[in-house]
Amino acid sequence: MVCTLSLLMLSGCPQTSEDALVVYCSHDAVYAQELLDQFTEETGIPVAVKFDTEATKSLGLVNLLVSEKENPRCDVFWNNEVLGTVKLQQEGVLSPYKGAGFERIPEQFKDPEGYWTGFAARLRVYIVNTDKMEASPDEITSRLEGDLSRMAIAKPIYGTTLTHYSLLWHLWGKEKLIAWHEDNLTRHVNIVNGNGQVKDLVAAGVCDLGWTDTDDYFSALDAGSPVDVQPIRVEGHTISIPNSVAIIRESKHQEAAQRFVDFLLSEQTELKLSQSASRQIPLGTVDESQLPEETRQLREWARESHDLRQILDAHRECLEWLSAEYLK
Amino acid sequence: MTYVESLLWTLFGALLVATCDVPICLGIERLLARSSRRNRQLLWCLLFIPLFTPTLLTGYAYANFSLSLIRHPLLSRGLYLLLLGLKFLAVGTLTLVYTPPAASPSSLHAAYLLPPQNAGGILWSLRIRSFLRRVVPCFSILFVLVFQEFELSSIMVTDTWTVRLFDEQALRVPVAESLRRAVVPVLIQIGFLALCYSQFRWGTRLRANSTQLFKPLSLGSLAILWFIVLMAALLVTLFPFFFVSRSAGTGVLTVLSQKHTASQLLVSVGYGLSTGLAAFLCARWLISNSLSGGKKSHLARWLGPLLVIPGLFGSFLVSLVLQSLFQEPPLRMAYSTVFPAAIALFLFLLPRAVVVLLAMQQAGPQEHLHLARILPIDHSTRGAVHELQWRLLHQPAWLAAAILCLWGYFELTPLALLAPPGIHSIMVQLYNQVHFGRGVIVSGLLLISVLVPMALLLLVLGGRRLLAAIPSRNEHH
Repeated sequence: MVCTLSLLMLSGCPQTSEDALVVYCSHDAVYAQELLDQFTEETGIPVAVKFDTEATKSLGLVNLLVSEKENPRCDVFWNNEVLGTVKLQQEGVLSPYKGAGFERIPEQFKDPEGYWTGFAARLRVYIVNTDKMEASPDEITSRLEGDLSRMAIAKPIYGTTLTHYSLLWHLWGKEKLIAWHEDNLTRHVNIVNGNGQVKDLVAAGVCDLGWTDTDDYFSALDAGSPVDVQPIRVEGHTISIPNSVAIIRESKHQEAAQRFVDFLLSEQTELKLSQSASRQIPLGTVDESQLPEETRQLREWARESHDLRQILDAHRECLEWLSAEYLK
Repeated sequence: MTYVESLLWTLFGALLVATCDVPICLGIERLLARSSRRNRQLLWCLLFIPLFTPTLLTGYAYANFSLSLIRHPLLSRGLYLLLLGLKFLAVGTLTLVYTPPAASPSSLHAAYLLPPQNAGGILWSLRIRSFLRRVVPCFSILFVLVFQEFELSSIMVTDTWTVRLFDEQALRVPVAESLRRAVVPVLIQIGFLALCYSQFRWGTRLRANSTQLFKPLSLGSLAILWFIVLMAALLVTLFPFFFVSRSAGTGVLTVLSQKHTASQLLVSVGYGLSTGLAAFLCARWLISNSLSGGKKSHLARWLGPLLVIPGLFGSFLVSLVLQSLFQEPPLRMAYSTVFPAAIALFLFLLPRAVVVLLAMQQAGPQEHLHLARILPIDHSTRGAVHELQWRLLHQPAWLAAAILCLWGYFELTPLALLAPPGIHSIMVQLYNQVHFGRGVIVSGLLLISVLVPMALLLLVLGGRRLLAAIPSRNEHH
């Protein structure tokens, strides 16, 4: 056992040395690793990354950072959504930084004091099986009025569906959201574990439409499934969920952390993420000619997004209600 | 569905699988006993393939089909239970093979010699005790394995108590509250394990397999049993493997060209080997010092439950608790090392190790081993004698250690939660990749993740031949 553990430690040494910048990353490893390697290549700064997994559904790292608050080992948190990062700000886990990339990002996607900055977003969308129905706003609206047994959504207790519910709570209030949720249940909406499963159900034609994110939609599209999307609009606005990046308070590698944040918020990184399989939507100014065709349309929709910074109270209250619902 | 309903459904499912699997395992045991050496090897091979197949592979192959049954939850749950039942056939059969009988051949013979008016009751009593002795451990182990399952139920959208506890974490329920809710399922598992233990504890000290006389199987039974074993390998392993790895050829090259693959493999193998062997050795020490006859250590008696019970909570809760503990002094200094994840894996594996070893405990030296030992060894017989000693003395231990290492290798959650930054296991990587659907990289990773333990097993077999070649200490007595 000692020998094997020694081997393990040896294998980890280059990446977990004292010099390495520790990054907690809830963006999908398959896309993030390439950027992390590129950062190390460009700057010579080694990065030791801890990824979230689908097994822990991005809830793990936010909770972990809160629990590590008194003795942080992480330097930078790269989150694939915003609300968890704002929660960390409220818990006093983050420190502010306004670097070169901060100015590129529109006001509604960043904290004014620089505790966190958003970049490269996903959109909440209706994913539609085009063999089953037309992906038009009118057709979707008519489908939402009757029986929902051919529609799927993810459990609203985590991920972007929780953000979605929190926004509805913020806009509609508690009573209306709960009544709407219960009405959906009586109309037999299918609730599954995650957005990926919603995508799979629609792509396979088991369901005709569902709520998901653009990255899941593109994975179905690239697999050759007959799918199309329409943005989900609530009171006329879309729901754009950016990645967010923040430096941890008492980071032991402040300078390296700032360089990494600048790197992530650069035009180069946003373009790279928009060209990846997940087609993340650049939020800052970029060379439009380098954007993939699909991303240009998404970028238009993302500009019409709600400002998610205002829904934090709703997020907490909504989570309390969901806890009561799901912990029976 | 409420938590209590989920718990009841899981309980029902585990009872159902154990009830269905036990007669099949009894049949397979008979089949094994009546088969030629070559057929026996083939049977074991077919049984072990599903057991060692990563749950991730099976789960994702059936995830879409299971999802398509979303409006038929009973069918979906039935598929989930069928896959689990087939997967664990090897464990049930192993338990039966290594479970000691209730009565020795001499006592059975004595009972047969009794006058008919007295023999009837005694024979029936012996038969019932013998049946219970053999069935209860098998049933209990199968029950516990199905009852605490998490990964497959999570992937196949089956509501179980383990998935509910995971969801609670998403809602930021304190770990202490989750542990409180886990008490009932843990007590249920302890109850079944205690039943299993009692059959070994209060029984005779007979050796497994030595007194089992199996009647021949009918042709129909033979065909059905072979069909079930083949279906297990086909449904749990071969079909998923084929389905997912159609493009593995180019995928393997792509994965191998990625610079992190080797370190991920090393991490997975390292954790699997170290924690599997540690659990094996610890379980052996605990059993020999606190459970079996002979010398008993107070330390082992006290330490045993403390070490064994945490694993019954499942790897997810164990990992969460350790995450909290390792942030407090004096453990904080080891927080960013490999040890928290290794300890979580070790604790998760230990109850399984105890159960597996208890089942194999009685498979020690037997009369024919003694005969083998006193056989004159010369150049012409050395190989055959050592081969015999290997099969009777060492093989069960090697088998147990291999199973535990593989369980450690394929376990996802402790490494996902507790591995220090910069250390990623191949299973975590695979889990992340599979999320995006089937493709070249996933196929390559899957193939590699399965080939590595297979290669290691071959190495182990090579190693045991080396071991067999070393003269046993007993030869000198």
